[in-house]
Amino acid sequence: MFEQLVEIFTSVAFYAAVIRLTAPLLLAAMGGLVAERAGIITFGMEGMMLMGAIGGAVGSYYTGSVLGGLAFAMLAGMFLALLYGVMCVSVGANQVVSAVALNLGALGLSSTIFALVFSNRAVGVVTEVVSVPSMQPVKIPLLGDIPILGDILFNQLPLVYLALISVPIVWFVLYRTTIGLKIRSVGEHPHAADTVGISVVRVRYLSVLFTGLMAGLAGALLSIGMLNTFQENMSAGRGFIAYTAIIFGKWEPLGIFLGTLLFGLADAIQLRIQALNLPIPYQFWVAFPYLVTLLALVLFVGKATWPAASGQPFKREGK
Amino acid sequence: MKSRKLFALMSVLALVMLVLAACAPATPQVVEKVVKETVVVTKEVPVVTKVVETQVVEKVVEKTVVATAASPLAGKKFKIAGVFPGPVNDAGWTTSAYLSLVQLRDKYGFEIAYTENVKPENAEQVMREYVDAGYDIIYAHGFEYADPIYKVAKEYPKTYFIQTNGSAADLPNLYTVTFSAGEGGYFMGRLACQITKSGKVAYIAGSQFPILSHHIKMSRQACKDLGREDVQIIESYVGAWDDPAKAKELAKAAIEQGVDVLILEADIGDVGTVEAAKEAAAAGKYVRVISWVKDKNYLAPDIVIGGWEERVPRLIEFCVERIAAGQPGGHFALGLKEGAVGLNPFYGLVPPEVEKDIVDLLQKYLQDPKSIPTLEVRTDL
Repeated sequence: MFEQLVEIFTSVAFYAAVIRLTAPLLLAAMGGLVAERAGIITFGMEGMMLMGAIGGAVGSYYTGSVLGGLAFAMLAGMFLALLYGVMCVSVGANQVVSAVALNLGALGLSSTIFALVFSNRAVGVVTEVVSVPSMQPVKIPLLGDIPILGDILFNQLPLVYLALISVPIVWFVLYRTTIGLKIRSVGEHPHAADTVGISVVRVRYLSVLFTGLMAGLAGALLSIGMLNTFQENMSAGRGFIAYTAIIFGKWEPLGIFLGTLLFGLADAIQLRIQALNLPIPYQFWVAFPYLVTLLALVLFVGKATWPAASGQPFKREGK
Repeated sequence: MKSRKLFALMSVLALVMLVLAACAPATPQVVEKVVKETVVVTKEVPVVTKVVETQVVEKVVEKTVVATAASPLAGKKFKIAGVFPGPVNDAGWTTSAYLSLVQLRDKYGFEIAYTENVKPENAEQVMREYVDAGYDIIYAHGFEYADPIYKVAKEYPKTYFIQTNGSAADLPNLYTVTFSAGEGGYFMGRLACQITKSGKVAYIAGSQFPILSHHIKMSRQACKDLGREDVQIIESYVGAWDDPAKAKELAKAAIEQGVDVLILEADIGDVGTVEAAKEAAAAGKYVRVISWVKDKNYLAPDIVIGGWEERVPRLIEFCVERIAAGQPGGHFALGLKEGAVGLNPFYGLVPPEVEKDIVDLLQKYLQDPKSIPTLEVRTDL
């Protein structure tokens, strides 16, 4: 038992799996962070991921290329994000309620598109799993040849690289550029931002669209990255986990990265421990990543501070 | 003004979204009759075994209840409604349930309807709605519906109820039907033990349930009978039936830990398991996948063995025949002898002597079930 655990933790494949399991969560969470910092609650990422997943599969199927799939995935994610933007920026509707409605809507919409595109005409349902062109791992020259580290980090799917480099990029944009300053000010004090000439509406719309784009890519990472097909509800709650990762990371890129990494690590561990057939019910292992994250949240992270204007619709006074 | 217009637009959009959402789960929807030439694609895969007769064993007689008078529905065209756990487009467990209904429609002119993605806690309500809408037969597809279907069946003695993988047997209008558990596990276990080179075999399953556990137990028994107690049969669970990305990671983890034979028990997740095996094969590893329920060889012709076929339409037809004949409900288990399960092709992916061993043993077993004394067939799970 102990030897088997040592074997797991010393294998390169294990750490590569941690990165793979972290990537879709990280990609969505980094997108979500931007809208969150602009004061928009991104509880709707689950739906955006699902749209991205079906968009990726359909795009890849029709264009015959993964790039086409990615383009469709981004558009599909942004389509849902646009609806969400209209609801919570223009209309000023309750953001959580709108997000729940959109998540349900995306489940129905993606399933409907799936059935329309891939059904077996004779019986009207999808009777065989469809395969579409999918992304292949790309080994980065030089870096990929570094022993151990190369196999863990630099022999992955392109979208996994994107997830990893999005952490410093989002950090840089948020803290070192005017755009980032605008985003943060809109999320902290929209009225003050408005008085200095920042268009709150525009900043919020663009931030939400960015979330849609990233969540769409995260969905595509599932459908045409890790797999080569779509299945109903295949995001399987990852959008919600990404959302909690934002809170876990206290709205900071590095914290979010660590949060998703912890979840990916715990997941990679449980997937391997199951094969040891220990006398512990499997349900415990399935719940293990959630338990670990919860525990870390309680023990090490502590109280979260939200962006001050989070969830509040912006209305200019005296109009 | 502007915002009011926007609000109206948004309301309409929200409504559309909600309607779309509602279309997928939990609304009883009558399936339109498709054009007449509809071909049922219950692909008749060439089955290696010869099924001698399609007669029903009455092993379960002691459990059936006293017969009611001749069925008032005999000779009538039934209206049947399905309550399904997953989406009909899963190309697996729920698709097979849907195809059962399609077969009844095309063969007997039944009127059919179904609701997909029904959670056990909502099942009662969905069933009641169908009963109230005048459906004669309610068919719930899965072990998770045991409680709701029992409750509703008791309340509506004039309506017939069918449940797959159920086990209740004391209501005259409730027909619970399963594949007898054990045969599949034994034969596939015997196959797996002979084709593994590393001595590690893994079931990649959605979640645990009694029938599966018995199959796994029989797989271990089969290895023991071969004198291969060294072969480890691992069970790994995704924790969901609809998460192929996670199933793939689970299978990858198993392969990294030395598993070279994977058995598909994760329904929608199976495509992920096959992907993991494909990647391992592409990296030059020896790996074999054994299908279950449906032949999934088309996903990876070089590594996926046809495996064990489970014909859901056969179960449903069996129950409906009983209903039409006025025979009472009870618990029924159909296995090899009844033609409800069987062996799919091997596609030349196993050594000829192994294929011969399995096929011969199965023939022998069909003629005399006692020829494998250690194979315990459970019909009560």
